[in-house]
Amino acid sequence: MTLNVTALLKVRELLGWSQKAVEFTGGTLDQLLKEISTIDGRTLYDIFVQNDGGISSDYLVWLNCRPVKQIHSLDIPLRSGDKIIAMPAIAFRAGG
Amino acid sequence: MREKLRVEKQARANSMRPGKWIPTTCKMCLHTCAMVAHVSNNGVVDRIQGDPTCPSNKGKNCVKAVTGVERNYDPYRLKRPVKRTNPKKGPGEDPGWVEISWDEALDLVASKMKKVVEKDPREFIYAITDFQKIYNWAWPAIIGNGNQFHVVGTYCGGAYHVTAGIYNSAFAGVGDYERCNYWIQCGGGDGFSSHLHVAAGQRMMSDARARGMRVVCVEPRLSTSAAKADEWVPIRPACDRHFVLGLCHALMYEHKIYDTEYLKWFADGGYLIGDDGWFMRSSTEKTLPPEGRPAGSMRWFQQTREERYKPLVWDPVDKRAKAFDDPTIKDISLEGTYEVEGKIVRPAFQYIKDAYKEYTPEWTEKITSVPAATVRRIAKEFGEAAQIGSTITLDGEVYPYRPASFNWYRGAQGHKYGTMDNQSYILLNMLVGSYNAPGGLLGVVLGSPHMVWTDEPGPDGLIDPKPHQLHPEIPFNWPPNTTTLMEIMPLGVDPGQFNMLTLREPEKYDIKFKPSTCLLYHSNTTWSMVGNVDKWYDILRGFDFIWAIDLFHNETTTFADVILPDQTYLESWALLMCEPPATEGLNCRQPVVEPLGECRDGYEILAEVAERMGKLKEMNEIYSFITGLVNDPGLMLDVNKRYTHKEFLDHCARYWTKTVWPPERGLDWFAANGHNVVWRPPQHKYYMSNKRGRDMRRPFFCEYILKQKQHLEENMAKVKMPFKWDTSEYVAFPNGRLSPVHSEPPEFDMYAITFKEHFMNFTENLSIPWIREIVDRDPHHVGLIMNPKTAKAKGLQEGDYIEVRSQFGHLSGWLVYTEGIHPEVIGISNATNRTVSHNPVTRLGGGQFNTLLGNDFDYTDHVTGAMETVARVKITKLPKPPLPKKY
Repeated sequence: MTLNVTALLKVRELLGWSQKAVEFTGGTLDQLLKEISTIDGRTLYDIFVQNDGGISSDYLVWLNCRPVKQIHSLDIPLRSGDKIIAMPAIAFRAGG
Repeated sequence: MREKLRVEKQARANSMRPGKWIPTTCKMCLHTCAMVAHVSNNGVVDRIQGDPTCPSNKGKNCVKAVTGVERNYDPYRLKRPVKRTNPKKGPGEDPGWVEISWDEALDLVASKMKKVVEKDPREFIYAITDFQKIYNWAWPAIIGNGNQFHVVGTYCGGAYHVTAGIYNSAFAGVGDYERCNYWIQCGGGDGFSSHLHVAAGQRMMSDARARGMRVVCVEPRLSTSAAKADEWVPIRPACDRHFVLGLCHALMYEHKIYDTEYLKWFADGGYLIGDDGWFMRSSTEKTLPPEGRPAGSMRWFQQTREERYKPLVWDPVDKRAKAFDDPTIKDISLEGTYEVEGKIVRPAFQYIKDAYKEYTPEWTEKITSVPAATVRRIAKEFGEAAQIGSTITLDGEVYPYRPASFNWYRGAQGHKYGTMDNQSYILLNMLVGSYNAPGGLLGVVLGSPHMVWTDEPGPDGLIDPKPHQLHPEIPFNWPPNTTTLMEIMPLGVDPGQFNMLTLREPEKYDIKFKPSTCLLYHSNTTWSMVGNVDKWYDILRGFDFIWAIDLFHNETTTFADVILPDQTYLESWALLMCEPPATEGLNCRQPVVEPLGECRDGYEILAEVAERMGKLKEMNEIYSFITGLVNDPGLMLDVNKRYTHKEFLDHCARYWTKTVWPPERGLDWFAANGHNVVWRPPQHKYYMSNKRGRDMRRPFFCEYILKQKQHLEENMAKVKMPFKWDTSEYVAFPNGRLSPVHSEPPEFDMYAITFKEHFMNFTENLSIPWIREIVDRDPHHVGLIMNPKTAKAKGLQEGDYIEVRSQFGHLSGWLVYTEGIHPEVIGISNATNRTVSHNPVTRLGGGQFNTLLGNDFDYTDHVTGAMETVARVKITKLPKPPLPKKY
């Protein structure tokens, strides 16, 4: 399946790209994060996910316009065409 | 009369030179009335009127809109960048402004900003309040900064928006003008003078009154709403919630009027509550993740990492507890006490009813001064007007019909326990089943069109709470990174008033950085912030560098080092969501005249500063994110390109129309046509109200708030905080706790309130000659208003010069009598507050109302950061000063 992944701000710098159609053999959000490598050889999973299995409060992951929060389980099944946005958690004051 | 009108019309026509009408959108307040501007052939705008093609305001506009011409051509407008030459800052100091070039101004700003970024981005602090370009609020995020100098103001609905988000996935709420028959108006001006979309609201309110809708207005002052209502109920300030708790008691216990169908099936009124005050949950039935993930389903977002067992209800037919979604449920009990697995439990409705037993109309009278008989009568009228059990068919769908609405805004909830205030008003509407029903109180979604969703299923069969209507949640962190302490308010809305605490004594709050550089973007912060104004001036003096973007000088920009002149709404672009619930769509604002002097568009000023700071990529990313463009690779902003405001809005127009209001249309289409606003279809307007089994019950008993409290307490227990943060205000349903203003020392024997009219909003409007003339002719706006009986009892008489003093500050002014105010109250108009003027039209007052207010933890709602906007004061007579100068 093809997923649309967008990396913003520091995550863009970590990955070296801003937007990409990622070919994914199928599975869940945590598996996708494990498949996306950073320039320095780590994966987004290494950077984003804390010991208890939730997304770190330092990062935001949005799936189809919805925030995946710390309390959420990351074994969300993905579907072709899903849009994933990854970015640092910075304080916005509008929209969102 | 007809002849007079004809002559006036002719005179107006004669005063207009030949030219053309251009569709655009008003910005004399934060709302978005469609209008047309007449521009003469020599490029001067000489008339403004409502756009008759827009179904929202239907050609109507308010007095402010007409005065837009005067604002545009105000001789005191800033037309070139200016720099101060006097380093001494203060209201009595002449800044010594000198005009400088844009290059010099931008270089100066960018160099100061770069230094902050290199040292510590948290040292930047900002106040950005242009509501119509809400994306600019996020500009500081390009350096990862979230230090808000000011958002929630005295006139804002801080707690209101959070609770609308939790209970209804909405930003606001308003009665259904089209179908309501009985409208209780409490502390708000909808349909008369303020709040949502004034011109449209006034038109719809007029239509509703003409068809017989009754309006009961509950306020301490005979406001515009109260003066035009069928009934004015004067109430002691800061106890509107107690009035509503009395209504709830009377409906539950005396009149026995409540919507059982709604409470059982559209709310959690039947969920069982244990003696611990939490849902009683099944010990065996878990909420399981759905199979796969069907297209379009967001049920996965109900799934949390912690195990979640299903809440139980009591089925009175089978006489046993069942999971809330058990398909065998035959009925749900709302009342009674039951034993489940050895525990005594009550349905939420019974649990709340028991708690409200003490809130009798007599109890209400003692607190609010509203007679018990009036409370009983209004409860009965409201309950009967709701026509519980009736239905209405719209577009072939059958909906519950509940034509009674309790409608409120700032005055009813700008209080210490603002969250509970809002909870009580929602609860009353839910009690009679009018929440989101035709005729009832309807949700208003935020003006961010990419937020296409409204209500969605959340955990436990309830609506997914969306408290963060203005920005994503600020995660818990200690020591804090925000001077507003948002880290300890998981449901909060940026309490700017805390800056007075944290900036003056950072060590007391574990603030490890010191803001040095400040941006003021259309914000007269010291004028709108709560607390003693002299202390705010000290804080401004403490910043190393202040830059401002504005049309005029004001009290706060008097402290700026550089001011960059913005364009008016008649000179610039914007694309704005026309406020629901009656209509939906976009209104376009376009330049109808050339900008005066060297004024530049605010977006383009920010883009220029970003580029000079090396942060253009980040700006394009942030703006793509908050407008939703990031979801469309073809329309997302190219990170390497510098866009004009018009180009940026063209991307927004295409994305928002494509996704929300197809077909796809660019900005040029909007410039030619003005808007794409349409009446909302019933299925959008009355969302969920007629659908059982959509797993979106509204929380009559809001366990979610208890969860937030629990998480916050767990987080706070892990760190060492230098102060105690009280979490007792997080409650599942509102109670009768009183604001501390009711227990101040007895010498502060009066309540002080502030008020305004819709044409007086924003600082700038009081310098517009036409508005000033209206204000000066109204005695309520030129003096401090008091009931004559109270004044005489204090040995005062009309025309006396008096001091109003609270524990926190004082002001002075001329006493004016009015019978239209509660006898324990002194009213202080927004128009009497100005203390600095750039413009001789602006009359200076005897001090600012906000200086009377407390701004510490004791006077702040700990759930949302909303502040108490009522003060306790004492009044003394002063020697008369010379009369103020006439302009």
